[in-house]
Amino acid sequence: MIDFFSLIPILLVLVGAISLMVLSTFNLKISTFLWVSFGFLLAALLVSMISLNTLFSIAPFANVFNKLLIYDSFSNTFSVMLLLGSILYLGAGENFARAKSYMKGEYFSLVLFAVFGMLLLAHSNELITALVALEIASCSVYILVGFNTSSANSSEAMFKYLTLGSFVGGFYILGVALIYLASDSTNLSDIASFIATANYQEITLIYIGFSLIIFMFLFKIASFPFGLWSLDVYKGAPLYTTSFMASVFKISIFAFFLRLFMQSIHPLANDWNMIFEILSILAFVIGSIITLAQQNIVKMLAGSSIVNAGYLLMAFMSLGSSLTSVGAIMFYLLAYMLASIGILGVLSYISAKEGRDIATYEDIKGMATNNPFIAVLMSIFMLSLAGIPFTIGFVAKLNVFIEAINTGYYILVFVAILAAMVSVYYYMRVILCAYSKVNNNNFTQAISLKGSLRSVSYYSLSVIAIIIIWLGISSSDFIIGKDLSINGIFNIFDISTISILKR
Amino acid sequence: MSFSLNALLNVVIFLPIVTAFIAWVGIKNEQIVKVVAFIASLIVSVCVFVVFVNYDFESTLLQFFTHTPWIQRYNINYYIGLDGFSLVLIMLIAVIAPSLYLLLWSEEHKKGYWINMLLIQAGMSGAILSLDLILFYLFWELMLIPVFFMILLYGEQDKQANAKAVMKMFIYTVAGSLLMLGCIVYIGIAFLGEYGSVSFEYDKLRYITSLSHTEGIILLLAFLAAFGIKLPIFPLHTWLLKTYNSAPTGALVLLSAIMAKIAIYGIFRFLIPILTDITFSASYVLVSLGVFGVVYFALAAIMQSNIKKMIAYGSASHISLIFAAVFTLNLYGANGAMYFVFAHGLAAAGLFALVGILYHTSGIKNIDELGSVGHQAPIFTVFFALFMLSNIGLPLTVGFVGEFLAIFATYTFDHILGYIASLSVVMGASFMIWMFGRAILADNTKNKNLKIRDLNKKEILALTPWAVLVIAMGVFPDYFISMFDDTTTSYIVDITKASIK
Repeated sequence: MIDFFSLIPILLVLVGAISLMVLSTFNLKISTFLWVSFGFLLAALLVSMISLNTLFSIAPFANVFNKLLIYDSFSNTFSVMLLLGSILYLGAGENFARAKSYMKGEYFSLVLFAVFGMLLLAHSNELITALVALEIASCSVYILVGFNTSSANSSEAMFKYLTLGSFVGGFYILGVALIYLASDSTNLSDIASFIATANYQEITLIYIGFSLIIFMFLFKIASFPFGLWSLDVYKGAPLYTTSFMASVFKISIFAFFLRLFMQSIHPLANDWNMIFEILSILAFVIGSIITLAQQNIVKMLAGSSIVNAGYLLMAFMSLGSSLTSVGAIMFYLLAYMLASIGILGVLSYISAKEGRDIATYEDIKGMATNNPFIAVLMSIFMLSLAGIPFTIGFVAKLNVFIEAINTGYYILVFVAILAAMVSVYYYMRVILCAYSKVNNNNFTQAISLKGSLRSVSYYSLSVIAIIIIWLGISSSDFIIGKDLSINGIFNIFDISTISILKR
Repeated sequence: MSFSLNALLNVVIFLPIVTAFIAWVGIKNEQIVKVVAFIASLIVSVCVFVVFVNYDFESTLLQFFTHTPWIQRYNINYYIGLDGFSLVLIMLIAVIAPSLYLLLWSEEHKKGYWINMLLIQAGMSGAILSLDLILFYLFWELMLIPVFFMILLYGEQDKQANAKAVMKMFIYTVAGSLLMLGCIVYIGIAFLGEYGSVSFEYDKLRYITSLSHTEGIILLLAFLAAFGIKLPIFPLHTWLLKTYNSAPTGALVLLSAIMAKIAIYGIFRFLIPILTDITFSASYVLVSLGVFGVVYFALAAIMQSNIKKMIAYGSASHISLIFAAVFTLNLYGANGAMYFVFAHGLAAAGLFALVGILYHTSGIKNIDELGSVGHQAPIFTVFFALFMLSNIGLPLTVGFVGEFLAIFATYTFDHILGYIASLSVVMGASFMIWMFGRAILADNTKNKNLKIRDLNKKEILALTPWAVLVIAMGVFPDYFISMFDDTTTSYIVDITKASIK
């Protein structure tokens, strides 16, 4: 029974995806599809939240699935984050979805299929299953990227992403083959026990295989050498999809690779540190330069995601020596997810009524005069991305810095601090533009219309802003929300960390 | 000490934030927001005075502290409290903030202006009261964001120039602060290595001994980057002019009168106790830097034709003298610096507020185009003269005591540096009196029809407490010094002991 219970969230999302596919054959309103997807995601979220704060680790239907899947606190925490992110993302873009003519019911079906793939990825305990899950998610996202068929950019983005993604998938499969060659298994726990007993020569293939797998990891999280696709893809995709890719999708990748690092190759984890160190320094330097050069806001955010991947890699280097760094990474992911959904949600909110998506800095000028509330929300999201105190972004950056300094990466932290200084410029520039006056701007003038735009988006964005501030200041000594304070969240993350180590 | 009194400090920090939030969400009318903001700052001041009355001046320990966990994972706590140093600064806020609202009363401002003023005040109070370094960093940055928005939205230049100025200021200060954050984390981790647990509380970190000389120098430089930019001291001042020129009066008064002093406070509270050895060995360089700044900024002030820029440089010159006094690391220096902090806070607040009124009524900042103020606005002139004289250190004003003690401390530290520092008095007097003569007293030759209004009742009411303090603190310095004397004495004894070890 517990086996079945553990799979309910995943199954709910799958059922939701299929029923949306069926529903999309009828000519229904977009908001109907939205509410249906909301319903399924919310149900799945509630089910996952039941066991959020408890420590457990089971392999559901072990005799059927042969431990392909795992259900532990770690995967459950990631499920909650993924589902919460999906709900907030769908809510924040509601306005956009209703306004754009190319949005159809299939879009939401695909979103739910993608979420299904991501949940499966978070729960997978085996390399091939992970690939299948990742491809389910990726294929859905490929289509979501190209959903605006009337836009050449969108199609270009889709092909670029599809080709590169498939190409990198090849590396992954080669890596899996090499690991299988060495260890006779693709199960993460079996690989771990092989590494524990094998001698140095026997694990050479493991090194090569994992390096190839890391290629794919770096590609999917848009980290430095393989991250440049994100600029074109983020810009070309509909803003709604960009928001999904930048936030929720990224987290699911980390869900699996963190497990891979902690569960399978933990004894060897430090051996990639040299590479990670160089890569993250390059991510800071080159990522910052690329980001500074952008005149397009979405491209700027894509560039800054390369820099943010640098911070995450920095925390990855502490994995071998410090267990708390897992919590630091998860917290950073949560912070980045919220702020990304927020800022891209704001951008999609104000480009809902226009023919094209928002592009340059010019397009957001006059935002504060036309809708001060949205401008304040956007400022909160940008401040959080810039890591200014009183937002979740600060706590996240602080944790990553503490972990890296504790492990002894002083030079790297110094470069990271320099990157953070530069990032203040490009993030604050958005706020400067939003607060500067301009007479004629269709984008921001559209949002001054009250009533018609006071929609789900409006409230979703407010909720995100409140969470961002709350997790920037809350203490467990506050009377309300003990488990949802910073300490509470870290507790959940620490329990998750323990649950993967128990395997 | 009962629980309720300890809670007062939390009211001091959070009442302005709560008020700002309520005003933002709930109140549409700008006039009501103004009244609400004024009342909030008045309540805060009353709280501070209650704390002041109940403060035990004999004790050198921290008082009125609150200690609750915040991020337990890294042992970061919400830890606030009060001693002689913080008392001086929190009193400065209590004296300046309500008056400032009255002074700005007749200027018509948007709702956002008052909300940002409240947030700046909250950030400053928080930074002054924090005893945990991460918490200090938090408030240190918090006060920057409302300043950013105030200059951006309500600045006195055109939009483009405001945006440029504020971006420069923001990047400068954030860059300094981020370096400081790196150092704070580094020290916390070093504490972990030595004592087995992470801590960011200053009264624990001061017992750290495992930092090597090289580490110490790097940490000192990073801390100085953060504090030096905010002050500003000599090579880090290039943001100053544009920002002060763009800043609206409210932000400007808070920036120059209090925010710069928080950097001095930060040096006293965190930098010197934690990095005592290095500070002692670097003190000669640092005092020289300060003394150089005194002369440099005074010369720069003489060159200015814009009245705001002149006072900005003049105040930078004085702040450099405070900086020098701090790093003499003797008792005269500590007492002098704290006295000077208060003196300069009052004088800078008064001068900038009056210049703001002048600019608001005439629209002119250029000294050449001003004049004939004396007979048109006699009360204005009297107040202006008083703050100016205090600023240049006329005996029987508060400025004299502070400046004298600071110069004396520099002289005991090193005779030659003391002689140079004493130039401060001469040079300060030269440009201030020269400016006063031309801009206020002399006949206006360029704009014959320039009308200057005199101060109204609210403004007189606002300036009176400042003026009374300027004179009272100049006439009875002993009484006021005794309020923080015990803290500074034990502080100097502590750091001297620590440096000998």
